[in-house]
Amino acid sequence: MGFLARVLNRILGFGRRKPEYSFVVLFNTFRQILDQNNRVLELIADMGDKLGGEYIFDKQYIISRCGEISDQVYKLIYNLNVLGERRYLALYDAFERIHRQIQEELAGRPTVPESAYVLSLDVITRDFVDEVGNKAANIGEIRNVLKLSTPDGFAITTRAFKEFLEVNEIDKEIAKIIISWDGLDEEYFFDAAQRIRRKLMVGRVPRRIASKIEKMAEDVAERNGLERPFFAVRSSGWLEDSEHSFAGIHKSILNVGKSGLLDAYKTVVASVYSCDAWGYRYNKGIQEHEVMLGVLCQLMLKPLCSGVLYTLHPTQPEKELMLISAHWGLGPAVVDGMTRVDEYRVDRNPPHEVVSMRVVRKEKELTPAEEGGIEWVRVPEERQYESCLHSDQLKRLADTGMLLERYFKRPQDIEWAIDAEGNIYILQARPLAIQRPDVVTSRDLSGLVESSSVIMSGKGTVVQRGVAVGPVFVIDDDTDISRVPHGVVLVTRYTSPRLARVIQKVRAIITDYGSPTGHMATVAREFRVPTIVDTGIATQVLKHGMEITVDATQNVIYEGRIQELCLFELTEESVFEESYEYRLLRRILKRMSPLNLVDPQDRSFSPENCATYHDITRYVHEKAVEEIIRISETYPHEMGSRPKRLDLPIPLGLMLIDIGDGTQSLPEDKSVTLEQIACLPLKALCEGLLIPGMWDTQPVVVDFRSLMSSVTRTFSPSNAGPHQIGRNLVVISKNYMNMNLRLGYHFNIVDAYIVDNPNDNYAYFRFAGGVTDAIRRSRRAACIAEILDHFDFKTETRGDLIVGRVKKLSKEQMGERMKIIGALIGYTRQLDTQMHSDDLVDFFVTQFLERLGKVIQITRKEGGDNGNNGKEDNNSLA
Amino acid sequence: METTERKTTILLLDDEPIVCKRLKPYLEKNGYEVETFTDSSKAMGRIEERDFDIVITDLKMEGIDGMTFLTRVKEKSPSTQVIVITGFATMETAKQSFQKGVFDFVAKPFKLSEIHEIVRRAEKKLRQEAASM
Repeated sequence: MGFLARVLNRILGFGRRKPEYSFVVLFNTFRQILDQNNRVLELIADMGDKLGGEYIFDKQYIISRCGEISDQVYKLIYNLNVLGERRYLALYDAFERIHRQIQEELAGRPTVPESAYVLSLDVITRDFVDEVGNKAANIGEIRNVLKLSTPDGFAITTRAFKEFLEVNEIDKEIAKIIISWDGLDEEYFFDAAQRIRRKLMVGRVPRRIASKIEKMAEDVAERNGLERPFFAVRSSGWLEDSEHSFAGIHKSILNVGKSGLLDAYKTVVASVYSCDAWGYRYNKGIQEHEVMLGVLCQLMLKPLCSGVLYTLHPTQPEKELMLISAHWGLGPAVVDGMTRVDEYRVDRNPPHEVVSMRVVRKEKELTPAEEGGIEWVRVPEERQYESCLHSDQLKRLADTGMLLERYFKRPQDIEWAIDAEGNIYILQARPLAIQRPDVVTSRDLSGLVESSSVIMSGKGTVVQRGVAVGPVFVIDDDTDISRVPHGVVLVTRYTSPRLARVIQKVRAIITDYGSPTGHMATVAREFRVPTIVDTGIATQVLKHGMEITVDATQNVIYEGRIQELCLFELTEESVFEESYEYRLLRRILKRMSPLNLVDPQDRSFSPENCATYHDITRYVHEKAVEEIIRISETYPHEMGSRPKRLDLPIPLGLMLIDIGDGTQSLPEDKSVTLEQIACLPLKALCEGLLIPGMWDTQPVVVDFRSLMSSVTRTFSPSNAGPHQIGRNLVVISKNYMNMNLRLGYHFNIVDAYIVDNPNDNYAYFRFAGGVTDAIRRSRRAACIAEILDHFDFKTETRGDLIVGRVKKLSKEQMGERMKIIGALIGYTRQLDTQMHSDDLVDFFVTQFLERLGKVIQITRKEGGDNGNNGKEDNNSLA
Repeated sequence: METTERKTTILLLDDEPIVCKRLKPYLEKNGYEVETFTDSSKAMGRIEERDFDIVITDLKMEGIDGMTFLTRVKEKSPSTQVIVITGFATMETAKQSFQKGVFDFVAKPFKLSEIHEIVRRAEKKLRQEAASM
């Protein structure tokens, strides 16, 4: 439609056009959208909770939840198109795209991810296991999540492998062999395997792949300041270095120059089809379609010494020892058992005393040769009898080993190297298979556990399962966090995001207060550190230095060290995080839960950029509000009046649609004043907003001077000025209000209905968002939750999202609750920017209650059955 | 403290291997003797060989379904306490299973502590029944 036509249409058609649906239908659709939006987010959060390990769920659960969520998201899109007269059809494409990915995941098709042919180690984590195989994914996780030193490098992906096989038609050949082999004829098998290997060695790596490998090798060389880079080229298959170690079966080629990379690649690929490797798979029941090979290329180190670390003595696990072997120069000397090596046995517990050492004469060492490859060279006389490692290095190695073990929840078999400067590098780490020692049968265990004295049991919530032993280390806010030693059980009053920094060092965390969905909990889960929060009494019963055993699977804390419990856990047949269901859920959540669309003003805020279900819901929600305003502007006669601006002394930018006796203004008025509002819930809410000191929150420096100094310094008076406030909407009638309010980056939804009969009364609201980091936002949520708890609301908090509900109070009491909501919206709208410490949560709660108390007296519900009575002590400060 | 001369025995049947894989070590750690099956016909064979104190079974399975299985368990060994694991879809059937003398049921997904609690209650009932005999 041309511009003129549009103008004409506007002028002539105004008032005569009718919307496709009546406003009642449209408004109900709008409310449905809100409900569905919330439902989707709750379902996704519910799935996320299952990753913590406390629940038993099966694939059926994942499938049915996915179905439910997809269904809701689809309806959301449908409803938005009803509101928006089909102007959001592009959302269906976004939905289809995400839905299909989820279906593929659920179908378990070994589809090779559409990744690049090569990926830099800097971007790889365990989530990339399908793209790059286990070894590379593990080392990426160690490098990027645990932040340990590893040689720089890159991985050639499974997609490259697949295409290499296809281009050379080797995949077909393999399929043929599998069909025709009877499983017995060894000679046939031997010939077939050799034929495949030969084909692979003469095969052509497609130019598109080869050029990417070259380019990546150059990039890695450049960022490390190397002119002539040399690489270690290692296999990294699916399932390799998992419960199936494939140890020593696939080839690694050391010190490969740039020009030799493609040949090395082919050699490694060919080693997958050696008789040994093929036989290994056959015996382990690994399907040939599961053979997806990534290849890891790491920059070659020139180490002073290298070796292997077992975090647990494999044949005498009950002795609590680590085994470290070392040799001068490169690792194969140790790994491949080519020569005698130095051996150390070190206590698994800090401070990791060296229990025994055996130093042998080392006449020759392996070193990288100048032009590639490796060679034996003579060790200078004076170093031949010298121990490769001294106690300081052994301790550092032991610390690193325990960190890896705790993280991967299994004893580890680690290849390491130390350079001339004394830096430790992790070359690879894989689970160490250990037979459960006879000592640890469950009968003995339950006996042992029964005879141990329980310090506390069933208190609080398990955030991350697991077992740990160690000395208690109590910290408070004054504790210098960098002083927390390795291997302790951290005990603290509050969950605090600042603990995230030491989470890797500690064996377990126990807190008095805190939420299982807070930021620290997320980090604890990420690092899989056994964690129990909200015990109420931890700091009272657990004293500094006390040796304890934390069983965060049963939620029991025992006095003393029950080492057997740990051992039982370490030798458990299956680690939950290694299970297929865990990986599947985690992969599926990646398609659902991250939020990429943040800023509605940004050009990227579009259906095309919706990469997850969360993005879609976010988009739909934003547009639904826009649409309902547009509809009421376009079809004012349908609803008796066009939207009016609500005039308040604060810049709320609120448009109001009256669907029945909600105001006393004239139909032609462009705006309404507070006095003209007849809608009880909205009127009360606005009154709350206008309570002095609510909208213009300024921190008051009292005796919190020291605490607050940082706050006042960084506080910016208003980052939600009127120009930044989008159009906000409230739909009202005499007894009902539904408000969508975006203030800067904060989202508030309030929905309330208040009449004389208390049984019909309810108020629901939801706060989310903020401009600051997740930690401060979650503190803000904690603050809001605490205030709401105080006034009989039932609350749920998830990260920065908080939902509060109250119902069945008398009309007067409900009115008071609306004032509180109003006051809270004003008071907390920028609170996150000030939430610099956990202690401020209490401070702001108190301040809020004080200010509120000056204006209104709130009548509490009789009996206060909101289940939060325990918290009243805190609040009585007010 | 009462000392039990033998451990409480549990047979666990669920055709989703993950359920067995995760529940077995958990229950063992709590001092139970646990046998697990993912194939209901094999579990059926096993209950003909010996009685268990407690049977935990899924309802919806390939082959012999949970209802048939638990009916046979109760016929053969009326004192065995049966706990039913159920998905959302089989909730109604699960409720019907009470008529067959099922002790309790738990809906998937469930918390480890939830099933432990039910098992403990079932144990208590076993002891009471044994004492009253």
